[in-house]
Amino acid sequence: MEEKYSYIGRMLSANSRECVVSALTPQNEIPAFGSMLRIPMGEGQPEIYGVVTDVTLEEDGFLRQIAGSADISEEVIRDAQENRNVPIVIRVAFIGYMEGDKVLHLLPPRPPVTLTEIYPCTNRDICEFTRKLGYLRLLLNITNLPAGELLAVHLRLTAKAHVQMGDSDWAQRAVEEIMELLSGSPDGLIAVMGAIGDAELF
Amino acid sequence: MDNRHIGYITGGSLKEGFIARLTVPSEIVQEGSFVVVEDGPRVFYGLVTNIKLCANNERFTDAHTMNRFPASLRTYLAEHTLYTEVEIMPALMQNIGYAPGTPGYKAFDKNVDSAPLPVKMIPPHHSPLRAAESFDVAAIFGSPDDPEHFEIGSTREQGHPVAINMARFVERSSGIFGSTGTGKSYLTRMILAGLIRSRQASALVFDMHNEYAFGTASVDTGTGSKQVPGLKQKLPDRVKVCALGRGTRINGMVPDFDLMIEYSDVTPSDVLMLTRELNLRETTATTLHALEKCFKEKWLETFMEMKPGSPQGTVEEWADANNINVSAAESLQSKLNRLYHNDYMIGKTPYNVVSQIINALENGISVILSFGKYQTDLDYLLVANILTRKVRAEWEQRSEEFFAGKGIRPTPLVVAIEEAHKLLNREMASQTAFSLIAREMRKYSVTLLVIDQRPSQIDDEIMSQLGTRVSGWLGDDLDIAAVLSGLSGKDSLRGMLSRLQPKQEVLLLGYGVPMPLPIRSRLYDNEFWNQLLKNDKNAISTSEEIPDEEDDWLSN
Repeated sequence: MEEKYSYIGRMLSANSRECVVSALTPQNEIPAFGSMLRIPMGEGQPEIYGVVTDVTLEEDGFLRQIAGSADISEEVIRDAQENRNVPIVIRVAFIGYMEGDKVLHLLPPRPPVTLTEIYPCTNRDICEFTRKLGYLRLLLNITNLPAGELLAVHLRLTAKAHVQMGDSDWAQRAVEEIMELLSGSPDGLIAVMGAIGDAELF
Repeated sequence: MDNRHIGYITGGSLKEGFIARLTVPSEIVQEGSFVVVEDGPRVFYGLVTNIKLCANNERFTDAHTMNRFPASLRTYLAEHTLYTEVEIMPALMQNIGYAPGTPGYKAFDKNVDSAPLPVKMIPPHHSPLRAAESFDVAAIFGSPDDPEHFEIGSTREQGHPVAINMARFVERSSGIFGSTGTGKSYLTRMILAGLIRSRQASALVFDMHNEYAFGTASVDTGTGSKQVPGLKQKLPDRVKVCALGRGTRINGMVPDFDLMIEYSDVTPSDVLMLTRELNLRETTATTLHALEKCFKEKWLETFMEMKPGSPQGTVEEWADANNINVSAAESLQSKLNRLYHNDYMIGKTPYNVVSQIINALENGISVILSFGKYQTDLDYLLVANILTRKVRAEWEQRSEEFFAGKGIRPTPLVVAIEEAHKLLNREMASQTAFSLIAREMRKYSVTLLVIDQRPSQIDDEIMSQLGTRVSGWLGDDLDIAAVLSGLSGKDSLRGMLSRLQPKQEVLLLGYGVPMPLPIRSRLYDNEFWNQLLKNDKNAISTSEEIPDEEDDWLSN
């Protein structure tokens, strides 16, 4: 049966490369670092795909008070973690978009409008979008976090989706593509491969 | 690129050759591999002259760096960052057009010359590279099934048959070289068999060690029971065996005729050629000149019979009368005793064997002159030179008659000489009949087949005249340089020659082959003869015992 997800949040701000999302989900259902999200922009508009590059759990005054208390009951802590809607901010880097059935591994022509709903990707979405590997180029160009760490986690998650959909060679192809993309940068390649080695893809 | 391709062009120049990156493991390609670069309607044929391990960055060559990664990732990383590059010496190119049904087929000009041509352009980047297929080898070297061609061996990696055009081979003098033990004699035997079978020329073979006519026991097996057949045994109607001396048996077999040398056949230049063997003095030339002037062609017999009381008088009397130093003349007479009293020297032969040899050769029958028990350098040098001089003179005369519009062109003749450096070294080259053949006799249809293990000892001018060269392994740099003298691309070929396997691998070079190529030469075995004699009515079937394959390639 196909996986169905409801939206996980709405977009707060965006530029051509990335957007910031306010998540609605409980803390234990936050999209994972390196996982893929999709941002439908409405009828006749492209659907933007992105990868989670950062998750921030922000505090509010009440949490600060609880945390500062000497004696907190387990019940209060669980209530704060499971029921309290603390602000969760997710940063999503764009890795391409779909125009109808066509996958384009390019930055979107324009960013989504504010408060657009953000959805997690199903295995089918992931496999369809990542069948070709050009989007890895965009991931490697992200400069505000270690590319190796992001790629390692992303490949691990995405390879799992491909395996579940019957493609067990995807991880190898993806690693080869990364090697090709970094062939001119031995230091970068060694750093990225170090992280990918720890991801135990093979 | 399809799965036949082993790499693609990444650079290069006409001057320095092409550079290709391999897409297959480095061990697939060897130095000397015959490779083909495809460029649309044309192909480039070349030889791999260097193989180089390369890396995108030096850090990836460091095993310590690579060992940090898990094994599976290390493999992928090595595949992407480490690679092999080959340097290719382009030899020929050919316009082959497009395959029917492909886009360029209709537009291709069918009148384009499709013969292999010298390389005058280079293929573009990324042109696919592949190992030569059998049809490539046949396109360049000719089909082994063609009667004019002789299959001499096969390519080393794929084993595609390689043929040489015997008509072209005999157009110019040629050489077979290789250090001792590399199988020169067996290779020579096969080439001579191919030559005789092709009917492109007659061969006059000076068989110093009695191994070409009736064969020998295989020396490597040491049993003596395994006989390697000779050319006379396999091609009895096309080969005559001549033995030096009366009643000589060659390996227990009776020759077709015996060769005796008349005293009058010996000229002063023959004697001067034996300066080292006879330990002659510098004054000898003067004495010999005076003898010839006095007694014409009977100089040797007359001189050697000079003694007190003889009709010729004494040496002293003759020397005094002709203003020759007496002691020099007496010394010469003493030294010539060794020559004069040889069993095969005679005053007058009962029948003219030389004419029989010439007639046989003229009729397309090859003659093997076996030296029997006469195994000294003196015997070899003297007899080979005298006989060759006579044969050469005959061919020269017949050719001149043909050029003058009389008679027919004489049958092409190949004179095969073993231990060639004894006859063609720098001191003697100008004195022997062979040097003239190498230099000038091509127009008279006489060429040399030089067989030697020390080509550096052969006169440079003679070496430069050798068209086709077939060389086994050579260890000495001077010998390698001599074999490659006068050839283009010798720097690339030098390494190839020095790294041949000590047995069964030979490098084909020069005029008789369209491009240089290292090959695995054929085994001298039953299969060789069966294939050679197929559909040949005049040859006998293979019945003699021939050593098993592992014993076949024997040294000599």
